[in-house]
This record gives sequence, C-alpha cells and structure tokens, in this order.
Amino acid sequence: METFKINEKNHMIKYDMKMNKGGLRLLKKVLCMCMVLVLILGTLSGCGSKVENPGNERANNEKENTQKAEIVKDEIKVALESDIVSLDPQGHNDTASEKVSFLLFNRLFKLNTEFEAVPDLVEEWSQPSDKEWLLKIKEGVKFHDGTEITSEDVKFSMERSKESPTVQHVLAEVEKVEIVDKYTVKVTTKVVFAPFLYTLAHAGVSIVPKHYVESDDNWKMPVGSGQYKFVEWVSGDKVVLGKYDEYYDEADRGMAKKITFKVIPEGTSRTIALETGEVDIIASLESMDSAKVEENPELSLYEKPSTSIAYVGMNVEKAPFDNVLVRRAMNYAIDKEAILEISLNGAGTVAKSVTSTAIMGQKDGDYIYDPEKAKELLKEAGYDGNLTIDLWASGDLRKRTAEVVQANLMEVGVTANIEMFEWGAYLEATNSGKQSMFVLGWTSNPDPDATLTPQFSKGSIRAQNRTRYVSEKVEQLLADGRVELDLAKRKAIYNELHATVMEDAPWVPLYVSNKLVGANSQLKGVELNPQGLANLHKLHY
Amino acid sequence: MIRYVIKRLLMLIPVVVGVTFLVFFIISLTPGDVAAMIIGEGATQESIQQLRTDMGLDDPIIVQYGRYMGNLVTGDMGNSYATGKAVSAEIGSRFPNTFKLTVLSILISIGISIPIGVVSATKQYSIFDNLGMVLALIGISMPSFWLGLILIIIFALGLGWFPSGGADSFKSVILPAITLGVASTASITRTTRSSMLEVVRQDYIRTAKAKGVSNRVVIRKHALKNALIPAITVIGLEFGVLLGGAILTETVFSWPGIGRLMVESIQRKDAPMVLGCIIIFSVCFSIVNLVIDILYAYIDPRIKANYE
Repeated sequence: METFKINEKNHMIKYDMKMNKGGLRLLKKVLCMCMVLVLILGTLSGCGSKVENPGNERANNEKENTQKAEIVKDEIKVALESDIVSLDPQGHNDTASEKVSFLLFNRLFKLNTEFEAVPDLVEEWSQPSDKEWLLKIKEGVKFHDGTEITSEDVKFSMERSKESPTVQHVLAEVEKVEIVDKYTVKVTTKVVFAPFLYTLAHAGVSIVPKHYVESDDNWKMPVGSGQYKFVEWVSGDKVVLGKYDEYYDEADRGMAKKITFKVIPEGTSRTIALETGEVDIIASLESMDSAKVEENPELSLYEKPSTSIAYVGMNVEKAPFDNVLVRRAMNYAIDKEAILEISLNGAGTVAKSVTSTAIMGQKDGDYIYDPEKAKELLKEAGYDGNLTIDLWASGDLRKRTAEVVQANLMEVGVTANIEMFEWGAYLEATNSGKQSMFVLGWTSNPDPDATLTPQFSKGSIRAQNRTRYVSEKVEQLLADGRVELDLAKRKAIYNELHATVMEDAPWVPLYVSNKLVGANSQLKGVELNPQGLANLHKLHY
Repeated sequence: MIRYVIKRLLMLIPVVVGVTFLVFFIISLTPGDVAAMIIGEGATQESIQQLRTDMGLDDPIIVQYGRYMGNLVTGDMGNSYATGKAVSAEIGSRFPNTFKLTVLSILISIGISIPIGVVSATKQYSIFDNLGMVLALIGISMPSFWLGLILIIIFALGLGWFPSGGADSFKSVILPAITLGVASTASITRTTRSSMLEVVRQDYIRTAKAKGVSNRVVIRKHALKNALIPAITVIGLEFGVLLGGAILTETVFSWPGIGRLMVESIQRKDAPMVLGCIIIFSVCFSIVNLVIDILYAYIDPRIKANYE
C-alpha cells in the first residue's frame, strides 16, 4: 500500500514539474508550429501557382492539337449566376430564365444586338388603324413535337401572357386578340401604343403550344419551337438543352449539339470554372475578375454597355431637395468618374442622362464635375456650408457609391449621413415619402416608354417614381411619346423629355454598367446585346 | 426502447408546430410585399392587389397560418411563390444532395478528429498534442468561405484533381465535404481530447493497466468507449450545424443543396419554400438527436438500463 502511494506521489510530482516547464515550452512550440504552418501554407500556395502554369500550357497544347485536328466540341457549358425560375416563359421575369426561354421558344419579334425589334415568327405586319395591328406568322413553322404553329397558338399565348401574374404588365395595353385566318391575328390595343412591337420581343410573349399547355405535363418537358429542345433541369444545378435539327430557319439553326447551363452563384467560383475549362463561357463576369480574364491568353473578355443605370435619387417633395438649385448643385458636386472606378473598376460609362445611350431618344445633359459651381448654386439656394442630409443605400455596391458621394458632398460643405437598409426594407422605405437622398439603379426594357413612364410620371408615385418628381411638361411628353408611331418624331419627343428631366434634376445619373462576358478564346459566335449574352444558339467551337 | 422511440417521434409534432408558427410570423413581420416582388418592377397597383387577393395574403396572419397547417397535415407544403413548383418536390430533389454532403463531411471529420483527440489525450503536452490542438484552433477559426476558395484554387485550378463545383460526379463532393468537415473536426477533436483525459485518470483504467493489459487495448477498449459519450453528443450537434451551416459551402461550390435553396427563398420572400426547408431542418435535427440518444444506449449499458 505504502509503496503504491509513494509511487503515485512521485508520479504526481513529475507531472506537476512537467506542467510548470510545459507552460513555457508549450508557448515556444506553439510559436514554432505557427511559423511552420505559415511556411507550409506559403509553399502550398506557391505550388498552386507554379503547377497552374504547366497545367495551362498543357491545356494550351491540347487545344492547339484539337484545333489542328479540327475536333468539334459538341457541348457548350454556360455558367449562370442563378438558377432559372421557371421553364414556362410566362412564369418568370428574370434574365437567367430568359436565356433558356429564348433558346426553347420563338417570339413574334426579337431584338437584334443593336436593340432593334426585328421579325422572328412574323412574316409581315401592317396597321389597318392606329390601334390595330395585323400580324401574319410564317407558314410551316413546327413545334418540337411536330405540330405546326398557327394563329390559335399566337392568340392563346398572348392571352395567357396577359393573365400571368409575372408578365401581365408586358401586354397590359393590349385589348383583344382575334384570329383572322390560320396564320394571321389582329391585335387591338387600348390606346395608340408605339412600343407595341418591342413588347412582342419580351420572353413573356413567347409563343407556346396551346395543346401542350393544356395537357397535364405541367412544364416538366416543355415543348417549344426554338433552336434547342428541352432535355433536363436539375434544380439548383443545371439545365440541359439539345439541338433541334428541324428548326424552321435553316440559316439560323443552333451550332452546338448541346447547351448546358451550369448554376454557379459565387462570382469567383464562376471565373475559376472558366479557367479550369469546366465551363466555356460566363454569362455575367464579375468586374473585379475582368483583368484576370483579359490577361489569360486562353480566355477572352467581351464588353458592351448595358441598359442598367445607377443613380442618386432626391425626393423633390422634401427639403432641401424641393429646391431645384440644390438638386442641380448635387449634379455638379458628385464625381461620377470616381464612383465608376470604385464601384465597377471602370467597367462602364459615365451616365449623362436618365437612361443608357442604348435606349432610343437618350440625350446627354450638360452637367460636369464642378465643385465650385455646386458651391455657388448651394449659396444661391441659401445654404452656405451648413447643410446636413440623409443618404440611404442598400447592399455593398451602393454603400461604396454612397461613401464617394458623401466625400464629394463634404467638399461642397454638405454633410451626408449614410444609412443602410436590407433590400426589401429599402424598396419600401424609398417609397415611404420619408426618403431624402438615396442610391438606386434601374435596368431598362428596350422601349424608352417602359423606363420613363414608371420613373417620371405622376401615376407611379408610391411605385417606381421614388423621387416623386412631377412635371406637366414631362407628363405631356410621355403621353405624346407613347402614341407617336413616326420613329424620328418619337425620338425628338424623348430628346426633349431627357432635357427637361435633367434640367429639373430629380436624379444625379451616375453610370451605365457594362455587361461583361468571359469565354474560352476558341469559342466562336459570342454575341452581346445591351441585356448581356445573346443569341446563344450561335455558340460553337 | 421502442416505446421510447415512438414517444420521441411523437415529440416531433410540437416541434414542427412551434417552428412553423415562429417562422410564419417572423416572415410576415419582415418588410416588403410578396405580391409586388413576384410581379416585379413595372407592375400596376391593381395587379399587385389582385395577386394579393388571389394568394390569400389579405387574410389575417392567423388565418393564413391555419390554412397552411391544415394543408401540411395532408402532406401538402404548398407551392413556391417564386417558381410555382410544389415545395415538397423541390425539397425532395435538393435534400439528398445536402444529406450526402453532410454525411460525408461528418464522416471525414470523425475520421480525423477521434484519432487526433485520442492521441492528444494519451500523449498530453507532447508535440502531437500541441500540433493537434493548433490544427483544431486553425480549423475552428478558418471561415469556410475562404477555405473553400483556397481548396478550389489549389486542387481544382492548380492541380486539376477535382472539379471546382457542381454535383456531377462523386469527385465533386470531396472538396465541399472537406471544407464543411474542417470546422466540426475542431470541436469534436477538442471534446474527444478532454473527455479522454478525464477517463484515463479513472480507477478502472489503472486497474486494467495493473492487470497487465497492453496500453493499446486499455485505450481502445476501456477508455475510448467511455470517452465517446460526450464526443457523440457533439457529433450530433455538429450534424445539425452542418445541415444548416452548409449554405456558404454550397454557394462556393455551386452545390445544389437545401441550404442555398433556403437562402434564395428568403431573399425572394418565398414563404412556403422557407417554411418547407425549416421544417425539414428541424425534423432532421430531431431525428439525428434521437439516433444519438439511441447510440448512447448501445455504448453505455447504464443508459440502456434506464430505458427498460
């Protein structure tokens, strides 16, 4: 017994001594190990970049070989930033779903890369009166299941579009659709409506087969008439389409046998997938990755000004922005170049009016960055370095924008207090009437009316008109623009509208972002329109 | 034992009722109009109002909740506001992916953490112990988003061993599973280590050693089995954390799982989908905990005796 105790004591003593020395030793060891780890991590990452090069060279050689042997890659993989919402073209209103819809379905008109509405299914059209449109579709165009497209399907699709909660706004001006003969429909609009042909190019007015929609399939295996047929949709992962060999327009058939849309929500992961060759093209490249793509000899960067404009809005009902001098001062005080650089790494153009230049009738305003002029205007309005305002924003990009605005305003003696909101709350708050100055954006549909009416008409206060700007002159110009069927006259009307709005200055337009697409440099047929990647059926190696 | 299991399964009912009740009301409190979000920009006030009426959004919340629960009893989780697809079908297609990822990552983390924990404890204050604990510390403090990207850069971009994302083959699950497993590895290692340390000082271990049993057998048969109970508790909790915490990992690796589905649905204010995901999470979490409780019984006869 005795010996046992002693043994245990000895043991304990040893243990304690170990502990005491151990404290110091432990610290040293931990330090050493941290350094070793840093070294290991360092070499690992070094390895990464070193290994990358031979890998790429190998890929390069392989590609060169394949080029020599002229092997055609049959499948094009396109990276999308989000999953599609629906296969039903009248059940979604987002750009990812549109890309798939445009391949699966035809519309009566489509947009070309210059953003003009050109005929798709329509053979010829005429206007018996200002409110009536006769549309004759091409004969012999077949859906993927072999049935012919007739005026029945056109009438059905347009009426269905008007009923759908997601896209009902597109054909809101259409009063009725009547069948004239097997291939002709007559559409009557509620008012004289100049943007009509543009509305027909919207994905929500895709022509869907009546017999399919009325079947029990419920969009599991959609039938369209486009260059590609539906194969598979794995929710959250991918959408697979296969080439439709009997597409009606032989000159415009799909090039690749298969197009697979891969959903890659994270921007950096998308770029890496392009670098590793897992995808052939990225539909929306992050602006911070554009340099990386440009420098890589295996990849190509494509850029095109979009229709998305960023702006600083001012509530014209609320002091100090009820004073037009203050609003004009803001237009002189804010350095748009700096904001473009900080927000988008320069991937865009400075906005000089309230829409992108891609939209018909856009006309540049006169404002330039001139803090002195801004100070003068503020002084004239009765504010001399003693103005404090609220500046609202939501999300990281708009926060950065707001910070530049804040710094700019500081220079002209205006203190801006930035307040951040969650997106849903922001949309509600900027409509509450309490908004003062806020950073926001707008993506235009092709027709100018679809942007200018919601933004600057009296009727959309508490909806999209967040600046609450009302002007009788603008109301009149909006009304005139909607009904003017002569293109040159219509353009002149919108020119005047832009000039008026810029003079009244409810907005400080900031920049129009570029649509960025990154692709394998061997990929051919890459086309962009102001809405981004377009005509995907032309993609091929 | 079976009675106990049935009792525990019945306990799921109040859990689901409580969780759905909370979530339903929290979602209804968040700002933003669902109808306006569905229709999107360019909608008229009348059409928004029409949709609100059609969707029953004008009814009092309690009525909407009652309606939802009524349908839930018949197994109908409703249709997604955003896509119009049946919530149960959507979850059905996504859940197996999350489950696969979670199970693999918990296996990876058990495979790493239990041996490290045991070695750390048996060779306390040795270089192994210190190294193990430093690794555990790094693991627990490394953001999964960052680790995921680093793994992609090294193993997908640099070495080309694994795909950088997607769910096309078995290879695609490896990197996300490692990313996800690393954080839980840390806490399981630490728990295993501390409970092993406690057990190896017990009398029966000394007795076993005194009987001349080899060190390896003492550790494996006598010590580890007893030390595993706290470790298993942590594993159960970590499983739940992994199920829900996979969101970032799923995003980095474009993994079509339920975590991403839930976040996307929250952003779209897609209440039926959010509720569906949360119900699935809470049911899974409860079932995992039940399995853990049953595992206790197999590991520890004393606990088994309590059930009978």
